[in-house]
Amino acid sequence: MRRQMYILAFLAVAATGTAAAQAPIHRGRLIAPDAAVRIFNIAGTVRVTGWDRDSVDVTAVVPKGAGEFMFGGGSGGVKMGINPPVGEAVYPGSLFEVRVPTRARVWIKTESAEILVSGLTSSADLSSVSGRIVVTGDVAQLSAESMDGGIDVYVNASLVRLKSAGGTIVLRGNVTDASLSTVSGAATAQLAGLDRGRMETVGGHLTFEAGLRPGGNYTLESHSGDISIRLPSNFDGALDLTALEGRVVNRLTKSPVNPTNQRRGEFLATSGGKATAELVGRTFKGTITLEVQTKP
Amino acid sequence: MTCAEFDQLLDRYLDESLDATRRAELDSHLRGCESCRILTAQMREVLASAATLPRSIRPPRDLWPDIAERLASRATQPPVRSIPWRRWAPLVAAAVLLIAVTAIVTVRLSRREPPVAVTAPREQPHIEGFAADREYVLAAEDLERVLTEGRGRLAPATVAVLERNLALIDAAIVEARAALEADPANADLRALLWGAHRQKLDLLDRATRLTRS
Repeated sequence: MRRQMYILAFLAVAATGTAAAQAPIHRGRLIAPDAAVRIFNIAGTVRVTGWDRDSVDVTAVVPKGAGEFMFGGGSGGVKMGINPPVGEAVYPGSLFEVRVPTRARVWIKTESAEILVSGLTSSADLSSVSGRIVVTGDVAQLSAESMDGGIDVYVNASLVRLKSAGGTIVLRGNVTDASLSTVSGAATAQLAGLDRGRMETVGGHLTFEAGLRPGGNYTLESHSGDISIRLPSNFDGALDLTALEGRVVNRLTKSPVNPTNQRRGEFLATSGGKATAELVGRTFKGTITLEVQTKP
Repeated sequence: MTCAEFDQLLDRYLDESLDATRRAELDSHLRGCESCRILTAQMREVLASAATLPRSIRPPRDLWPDIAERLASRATQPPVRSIPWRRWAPLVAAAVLLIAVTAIVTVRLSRREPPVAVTAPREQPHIEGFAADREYVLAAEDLERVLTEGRGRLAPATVAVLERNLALIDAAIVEARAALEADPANADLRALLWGAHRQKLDLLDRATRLTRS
């Protein structure tokens, strides 16, 4: 109880203390290996790196006028961030250099600050309005969303959820279950392997390049954006590609592209082996292009 | 001594209530552990700061008369419970509606039953698709109302991005809906229309969350 009072008092002091100084602020404390780490920043950069210690360590550079730095919490979880100055519309960027246990569960939220994450193995939940998000490593579960910032991910992961409205999404690596969604931004999935995948956009360009796995299931949808599908020449999968008012271009197989019955579009349908993968691509008025994967 | 053991004894260490042997053990641990040194220094800083705080703080003026007056006026009014969730009612309603729409659409799309006889046979081929369409629209309208209330809290650049992308989705919905009216049995068209609706709901939901943060 007394420790909790100390922590509360510490937070109060931290909130009114030396945050306006431009000299780097350094904080750290012991936390559980799987502790929750919550970080919020407005502008600037948040860089989080996993390390093999049961502690969290942050060095923050907070320029004058950027707001107040706060840091607090217990062994089960810590929270750090910037409390912005009231009434200001534009803030100088703050830099957070954070080290957390590799198994920590990390949550980051920013406005325009970029988010750079590496070396995590558990989960990361990242959100930015317009900042870029970059993730590398073996994080098990990743969720990243942005309104207008780009999302660039290179991971070995079991579950990946990426969303942006106008930003570009790029996913590389090896993933069990992936979902990429944009409205107008382009989305690219370039994966050594993928069990289940869904990519959707309204007007962006989708590029799907992945090793199809037996029993795998993949859906690619766009309204007006083009869809590029690149597969190995010896792929085993059933394809069901439809462009309702657009075109289907086949540069991969000898299967014919046919006109749709009632509309002005085209479709291509092929069957695969016994335990085959299924890939469905549909667009309203974009072009679906099926090509040979140029590199593994 | 481990860091966890040190952590457990830190309060008593700072209070200087440990016996000499135990205290020597903690001193020894501190010499070799940077993170515990930092923690200890921070705790000392907190204690020092706390020691400078006044024992009590008087309010700038006597607040009781105002409080008593409000209590008295409340006592004369019909009993109304203070319901903080009222502030969240629109959001809760939108969330419930979204869940309901998703459930309804999922059930409807997964059904492959013969069409139910209705009194207006001319609309029968449309009824499944367009009922769901209307429900999506209603859900989006609810979220749009919430968003409108909080729009002032979004940066102008964010509003511009939001409007540009919502316009793109709306145009896609109009196109897909018109095509579905002409070809109501087309499963691909339905999938694309529902997809555009879902994109819109998702974008609106993300934008409303931004207004609250």
